[in-house]
Order: sequence, then structure tokens, then C-alpha cells
Amino acid sequence: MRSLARRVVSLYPPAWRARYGDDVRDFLEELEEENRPFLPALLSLVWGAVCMRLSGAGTPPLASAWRHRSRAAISVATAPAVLFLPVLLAGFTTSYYGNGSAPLSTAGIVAEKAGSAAGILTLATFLALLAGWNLLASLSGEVAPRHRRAYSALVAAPFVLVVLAFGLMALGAHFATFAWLRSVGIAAIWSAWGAGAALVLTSGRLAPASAEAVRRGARVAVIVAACTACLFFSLLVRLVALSLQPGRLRIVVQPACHCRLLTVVGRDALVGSSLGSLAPLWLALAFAACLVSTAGAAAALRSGRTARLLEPAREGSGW
Amino acid sequence: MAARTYPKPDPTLLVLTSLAAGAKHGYGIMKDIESFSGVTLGPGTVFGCLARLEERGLVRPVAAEERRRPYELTAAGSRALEAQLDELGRVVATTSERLGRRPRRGTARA
Repeated sequence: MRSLARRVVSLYPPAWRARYGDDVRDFLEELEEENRPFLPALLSLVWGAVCMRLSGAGTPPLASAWRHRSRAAISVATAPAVLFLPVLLAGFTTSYYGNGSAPLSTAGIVAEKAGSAAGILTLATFLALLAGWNLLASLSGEVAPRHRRAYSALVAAPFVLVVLAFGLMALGAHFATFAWLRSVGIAAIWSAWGAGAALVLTSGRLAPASAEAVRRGARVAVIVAACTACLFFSLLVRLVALSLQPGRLRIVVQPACHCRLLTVVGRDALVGSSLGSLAPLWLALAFAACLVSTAGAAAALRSGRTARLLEPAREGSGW
Repeated sequence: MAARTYPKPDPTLLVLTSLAAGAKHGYGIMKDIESFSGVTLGPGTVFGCLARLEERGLVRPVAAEERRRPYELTAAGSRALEAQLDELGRVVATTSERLGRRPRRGTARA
């Protein structure tokens, strides 16, 4: 139990751990000495760690601490995209819809449930992104007037691009003549996100110059990163479950890089296309949102304004 | 004991109230709160509150006794607690009036 408790304490931000880690360990030892229930304390610590990560409380107002948070969030959000990239690039093909009335095997049921979870998590990621973009948009008033138009365009760009890409993909899906538009849509999303992220990374001048902007950016990044990590886990479960069905899973290399991930041959066909088409889109969205929100913050930190950027948070300014 | 059907009190207020009686370490705060309010706070909640309160300058650590580090209210913490009590007092008075209850003896004299 003690070692488990130590691991749980390690979930807290490093600065918080350095400050309160010993106190928490003493607390747990006294709890154990008095034979009080340990599990509620552990659950309380886990929940406390989640709240602490999201609120940023206990993190000192130092540029290095916030830079660390931003980088960690970007890493967490990037990992799923990086891990999935080889599969995505390996190629995709048309999914096979089997006989829906046939009973599913256990692995098939797991895959189906995981697919549903992925759908819900996709929605959660989308909502987190909306909240994040909304917050970033609300901060445009804090940008220097000469950069305001560029910043607003940067905030609006993802929505415009998503609508555009969906339009292109729908056209490509419904009209055989325009099938190539699907690839163009996907390529447009990836390259636009890359360009947008590069723009923010290289342009610290566009970042809102306030401590609140830095904090909000980092919080949004952490939420999006958590959603993305859950989405990735759900997709992984589905992939593993499907792969447990010998002879029914086939990943086919297709040079056009269409957004279909799995081909399931046989009665356990499970709408593999939804997994394939949503995964790259949402991972790209999450990745880019993290880059934009945290890179903006990091750029502001790097730009030498950190001394006046990071005053202590105002009371009740959290969201 | 009958199950509680109403929300628990704000943990921050409970921690401040506990520290109003003198400096305590984390486990001491939890036991004190348990004794006067019947609410058991987990370590995540206790140290989460302490972190937020310390960040706002309402509590501060004092010299450690053995390994354990106690925390005490600062002057700002005392003022914040008094302000909260004033607010609560007004709520209690209004609630008593609307429910047609007489204020308790202690409250009436105060």
C-alpha cells in the first residue's frame, strides 16, 4: 500500500510534490498506524492530483514551471498521433460491412464497445477543443492591436478548415469522379495544422501577453491531452480486440492514403471506417490545438516578458 | 448514522476553521474537522486546500515538529475566515427568519 501511495503522489505536479510530498507521506503513515481505511485516501489523492494538474494550483508562478507544463501537455497530446502515424501511413482501404444480424464473438463485442467509447471520447475531445478555442478567441482582446487580425484568423482557421475538409471528403465519397478530393481534404487538414502550428511556434509576438492567457492555454492543453490519451486508449483496445479475430482483420497498404484504417473480413465487420476516418482527423485536431494553445504560451514565456507575465493568479480567476 | 442528504460544507472553510484553533499538520487537520463537523476529508482534499490557501497567503507552514510540518493561519487568513463567518451569519439569520425558527441562544447573544 505504501508503495502504491508513493506512486499516486507521483501523479502530482513536480513542484507540488516537492512542496507537499513528504507531508502527504506522513499523513498516509499515520492513517496506516491508526488502521483507518486506505482506499478512500488513495482515491482522494488520485482525484486531488487530477484537480491539481488541471487547476495549476500549487505550481509556483515561475516561467520554468509553466514551460514544463506546456511541454508535458504537448508531449502527451503528440504521443498518440506519433504512435498512430505509421498505421495511418501504412494505408487504408474500403471497409467491408458484413452481415449485421450475425452474432458477434467476444472479441467482436469488445471491439464494438470500444468503438462506441471512441465515438463518445471523440465528442468529448471536440467539446474540449471548442472550449479551448473559445477561450483563445476571448483572449484576442489582449493581443497587440497590430496583431489582432492575424490572431483572430488563427483562432478561426481550424473551424473553417474542418468545414472545408469535411466538404471535400463528402464530395469525394459521393462522387467517384471526385474521389481524389478525399485525399486532398485529409492532406489539407494535416498541412494546414502544421502550418498554423509552425506560425504560432515561430511568432511569439502574437501570443497574448498576460499571465491569465498563459495559464488558460496550459489548462486547455492538459484537458485536450487527457481526452486525446483516452481516445487513443479506446482505439487501441478496439484494434487489439479486432486483431484477436484470426483471418478477419486485414490492413491493406494503399498509396492514396485514404482514411480507412481497418478491413475486417467476415461476419464481424464492425464499421472499421469510422475508426479510420475519425482517428487521423481528431488526433490532428487535438495535436494542433495543443500546439497552438501551449506553444502560444511557451512563445510568450520565451519572449522575455516572463517577469511581468507570471504574477500570482488572481483569486477566483480559474475556470 | 443517517445518510447525509445535503451537500458537505466547503472544505476550505473547514480547514480554515480547524486552523483557527491553532497550528496543525495535515492529519491533525483531518481529525479535527472530523470531530467538529463529522466530515472526513481525504488527503487529496486537505492538501489541495492547503496548497490553494498557501498560494493565496491565507495559511503558512511553521517550524516542523519532528518530521511533520504544521500549518497556521496568517493574519490575512484570519480576516478571510471572519469575513466568511459574517457572510454565513447573515445567511443563517435569514434562513432562521424564513423558516420561522428562533436563533439559537449563542447566536442571539452574539
